[in-house]
Amino acid sequence: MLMPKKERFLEEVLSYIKFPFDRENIKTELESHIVEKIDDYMEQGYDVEKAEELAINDIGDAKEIGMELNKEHNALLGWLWKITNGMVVLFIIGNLFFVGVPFFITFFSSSPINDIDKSSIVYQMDIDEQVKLDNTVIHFTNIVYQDNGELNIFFEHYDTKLWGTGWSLGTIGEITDNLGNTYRARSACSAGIKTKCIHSLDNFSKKADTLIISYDSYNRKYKVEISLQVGENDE
Amino acid sequence: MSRGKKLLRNMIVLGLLLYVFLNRSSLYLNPLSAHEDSERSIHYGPSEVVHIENFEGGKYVLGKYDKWVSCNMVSKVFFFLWGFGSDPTGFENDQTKAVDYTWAAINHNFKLYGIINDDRVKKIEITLGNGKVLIQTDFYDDLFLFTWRDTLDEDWNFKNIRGYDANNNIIFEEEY
Repeated sequence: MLMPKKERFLEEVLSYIKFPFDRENIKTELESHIVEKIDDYMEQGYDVEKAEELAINDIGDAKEIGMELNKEHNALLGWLWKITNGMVVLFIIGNLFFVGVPFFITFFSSSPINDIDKSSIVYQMDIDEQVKLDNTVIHFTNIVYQDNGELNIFFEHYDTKLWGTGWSLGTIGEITDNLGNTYRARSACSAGIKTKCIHSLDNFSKKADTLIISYDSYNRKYKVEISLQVGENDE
Repeated sequence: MSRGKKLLRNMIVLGLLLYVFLNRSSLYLNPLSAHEDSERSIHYGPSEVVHIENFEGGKYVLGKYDKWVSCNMVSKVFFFLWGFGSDPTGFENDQTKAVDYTWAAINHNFKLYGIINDDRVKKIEITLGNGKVLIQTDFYDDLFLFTWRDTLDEDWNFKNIRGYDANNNIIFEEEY
């Protein structure tokens, strides 16, 4: 049913509403209110045109109503609310990437010890040595000696701030044995909140019974000594 | 819920999300926080910040830590945030030299910084490959810092450094 007066009235009221995202709701509410009144008048025997005119007169002055509604639907508050809604969504997406991905990697990446060929293992030791460099905790977990003379050191490291990030751990220190040999390590690490690493030392002396890891850099120091199963690999 | 309350809720949620984002993304609201975390996470310092200087894309933070001298770079990210740059650790000062220094070039940004071990040195002069001479007489405690940018058509590499006393006598000289 065409109701041009009602449409004009609504259009005028809405022209005072500065926050555009509220206009549709205001229009729906006001329109249903006017239609109710029109129905009332029609039930009393008025024709549509007269009922529409009376209903609009009952509602009041479009300008006054528009200005009042505009005050209630504060545009500044509305825009701030709308902008912060968008920002919340953006930050949730950003955090899913920056927090979610490292957590995912941490929980689902396997230990590099699983990559060692089991048939090549001469001996394997579980160790539990922990050291701390500033906020970084380094936890040495396993030693695996292989029949090709390769000694593998397994360790994990993480930041005590949990979410903390920063430069990756460059070195765990100088690696030597009790016989005075120094070794260069090939290293590989996973990513994630808790990083799992392997350091592999080629041609590790079969006669050495202690592995020594010494860190001494920029006034930070630690020394880890690990007794090896020399009897079992000394043929 | 009123719109005011919804806005307050959004602000609280945003604060929490921003906190997590900044911590996990290695981004900071101020350059010194980026510098301090950069040093700590590489297990160096904390250095005493002696001078901060702007460069295109960030800031140089000149500092001293025990026997080391450093000039960390922190980068400006997304217009108002700060992140790690490069070169956070320092060189060990050789006190037997009247002037000890190092230099580096990263993305067209050159820096030469060092320390004056001989009190007689009152002026540091460096010469670049294109013949340009840079001079510094006002030091930051006993530290100095030269910064410059290169262009592709000239040789902007560092060639020579000299330290002069108050009478313009050369106390220290080194070629690169």
